This record gives sequence, C-alpha cells and structure tokens, in this order.
Amino acid sequence: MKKLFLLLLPGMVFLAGSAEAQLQKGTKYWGGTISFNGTLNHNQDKFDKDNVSKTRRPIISPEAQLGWFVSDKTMLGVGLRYSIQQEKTIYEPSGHKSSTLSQSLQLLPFVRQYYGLGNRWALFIHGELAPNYSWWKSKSEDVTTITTKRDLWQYGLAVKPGVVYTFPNKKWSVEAYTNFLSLSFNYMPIPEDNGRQFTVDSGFGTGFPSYFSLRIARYLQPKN
Amino acid sequence: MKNLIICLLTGAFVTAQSPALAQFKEGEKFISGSFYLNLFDNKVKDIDSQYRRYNHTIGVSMGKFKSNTMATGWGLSHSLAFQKLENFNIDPKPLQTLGFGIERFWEFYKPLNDKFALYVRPDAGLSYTLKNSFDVIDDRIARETQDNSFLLGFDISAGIAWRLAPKWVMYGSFAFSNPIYISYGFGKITHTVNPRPDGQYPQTNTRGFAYNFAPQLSSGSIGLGFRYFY
Repeated sequence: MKKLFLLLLPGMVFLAGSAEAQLQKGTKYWGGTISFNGTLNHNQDKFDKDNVSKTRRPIISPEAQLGWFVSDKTMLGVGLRYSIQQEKTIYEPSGHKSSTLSQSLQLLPFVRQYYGLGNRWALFIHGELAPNYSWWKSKSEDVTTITTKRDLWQYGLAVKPGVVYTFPNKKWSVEAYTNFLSLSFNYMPIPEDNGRQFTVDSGFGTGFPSYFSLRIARYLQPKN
Repeated sequence: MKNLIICLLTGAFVTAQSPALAQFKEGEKFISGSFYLNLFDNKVKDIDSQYRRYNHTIGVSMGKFKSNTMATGWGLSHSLAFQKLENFNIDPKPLQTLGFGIERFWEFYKPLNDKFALYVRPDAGLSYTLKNSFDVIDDRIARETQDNSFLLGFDISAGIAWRLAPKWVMYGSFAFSNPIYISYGFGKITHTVNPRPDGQYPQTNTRGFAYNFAPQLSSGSIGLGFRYFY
C-alpha cells in the first residue's frame, strides 16, 4: 500500500515515460471490488417506554470483471455489478413492520486501451455499455400485509480513464478509476407515465482528479 | 491550489532524476498546529432579532522520525461552536458542537532528492462529537436534536514534503481517503411545538450504530501546511 501511494502520485500526474510492454495479446484479466455500509437505529419514546422503533439499513455492492487482451494494448471484457440494499423497520408494541428490498444488476461489456508506463504502471481508457436492471419490493405488515413491486431498466454508456499499478511479484495489481476526463450518458424510460430521463455527466478540466475508485486485479500472462 | 500542488510535484519529479538523498534523520522531532476562530454578530433592532455565533477549532500534531524514512506521532483536535439566536418561538440551545479527537499516525517517506520527498500517511483516530441542531417548520423551531457520537476510523492521506529550511518543512497533501469507520451515537429528539396533554413536549431517545467500507480515494480537500523541526 505504501509503495502504491508513493508511486501512484507522480504516476497520475506525469504521463511521459518510456512505454514498455508489460501486457501482451492473450493475457487474461480479472478484477473486483466491494463496498458496504450500514446503520442500525433504535428510537424510544421518553414518556412511553414501550413505544420503540428499530431500523436496520445495510447496503452491499460487489463488482467483478473478466477480460482478454485481443492485442498488446486492447482488452475486451465484461463486468457484473450488483447492489443490494435492505431497509427494515419494526414498530413496537404494535408489531407493525415495513421493509424495502432494493436491488440492481448491471452487465457491463467493455473495451480498454492501454498505454504502458514502464514495468509496473499503465494508463488506460475504459469504455463500457451499462444496461441496468433495478427492482424493488416493499412490504408493510400490519393487520394486513401489503406488498408492492416495481422494476426499471436504464441504459448507460461511459468512458473513463484509469491507472493500474502492478506489484513487484507481478501477480496482483491495483486499479484506480477517476472522474478526470470522464464522460457518461444514461437513458431511463419511465413506463408508469410514459416518460423518460436522459443524463449526461462529464468531468473535463485541468485540475487534479478529485475522486479515485479502487479495485484489485490480476493479469495472467499467457504461457509461452 | 491544485495547480500549485501539481507545480510542486513537477519540480519534485523532475529533480528526482538526481541521486536521492534523505531529507530527514532518525530522532528528529516535529510539531505542527492550527487554530481557527470565527466570531459573528448580527442584530436587527426593528424586529428585535439577534444572531451571534462563535466557533473555534484547535489541532496539534507531534511526531518523531524512527528512521530516515519513517515517522510516527500523535495528533489532538478540539472544536467548539456556540450560537445565540433570538427570533424564533424558542431560543435554541446555544452549544452547537463540541468535539475532541485523538489520532495515531504513521508516515512513510520516499526521498526524491535532498529537498523533496513523497509520503503516505495512514492514521487511526478516535473522536467524540456533541451536536445540537434544530428543524424550522413554518418559521417556527419544531424539533431540537441532540446527538453524541463516537467514531473510530482509519484514514489515509499522501502528498509531498519540501524541506525549505533546516527547521521548516512544507507539506502538501492531495489524496485523502476514509475507507473504514465504525461509529456509535446516542441522543434525543425533542419536539418544541404541539405539547402533550400533560404540558410536556414529546421526546424520543435515539441510539445508533454505523459502519462503512469503501475502497475510494477522494482528493476533495487539498492542503498545504508547515512543520517545525526541533
């Protein structure tokens, strides 16, 4: 980690350097990352101690990618991104429960173009298609149980740069995506009211990138 | 500010082609600190309204080099904010925030030449914050919320150090992350309108636990600072 940071900093700023092939046609690739967070809350009425509500809200988002180098600099691949969030509240003493389960799944075919910066460093431009299927299920349990379901498709296209550092053992790498010079489009039809939503995000500028998203990766060289 | 950092980095990187020399020596001690104070007073006689605010933050950090390329140390921080607000149905609690924090840090350096070094700085910190806030609905304070929170977190930052004088080093940090933390909080929410039949206002006691893991770096706060070596 220490060396990663020490080398990441100038590496992100200085693009010049002797290109040295560290990747080659036939190299296989996989990468992944995960993030999670959550809260647990307990609320109690001061004057009616039995009047209590408890809320639990975990979120987990794993992502995995597979790829193959079709030339020394170009990789084709596919990623899978999943996110699950559950929010559950129990009210006492009534016993009323409400819960919402939100999930989304993205299949991400992508193409990457690499620019080598020596044995351990490389920059890449990552372009991906991002069809996204999201679905929600809400449940309210009281005297009667009411369940509502909803689902939605949206379609995205994103281009973003990144940097990869390979550790000296050449087995593991760390990649960082950034919002520096990024561009993304998203189209979301809304069937309920025959509407649609279109979003464009871009991050062009000469300032230092303000955001990096990290993941672990492996580049498996073909056996000669 | 960001461009200044990049310029510094450029200088550091270009000069890094020369043989690297250590800027720091084992046993060197350093101290850095900050003190910010803010006062604000606003009074409108016609509508009998007054708003006064005071806040300060204090931070002290001390460390020692264990080798030419590694230092460890401790940091202490404190913050306090008061306010006096007189134009609502009630006067909200004057104490807005009170915080104390302690951190243990480790710094690893990679010398670029005899003046510049890159560094990475992981730290683990524990903090306590008391926060009072209120919600305004229809120009009336409807709720007051008090929250006490304890946070145990792991942070990482990185940057460049420039030894511009024997006793002074300038630090520029430009990558921050807060990848892991857990926090526990307790407090209360007191309604300040619509009292109960017995005349008391409804109150809810709260407590909560939060956790976070996110493999992300943010350079949202880029900073420059000085350290004194002795």
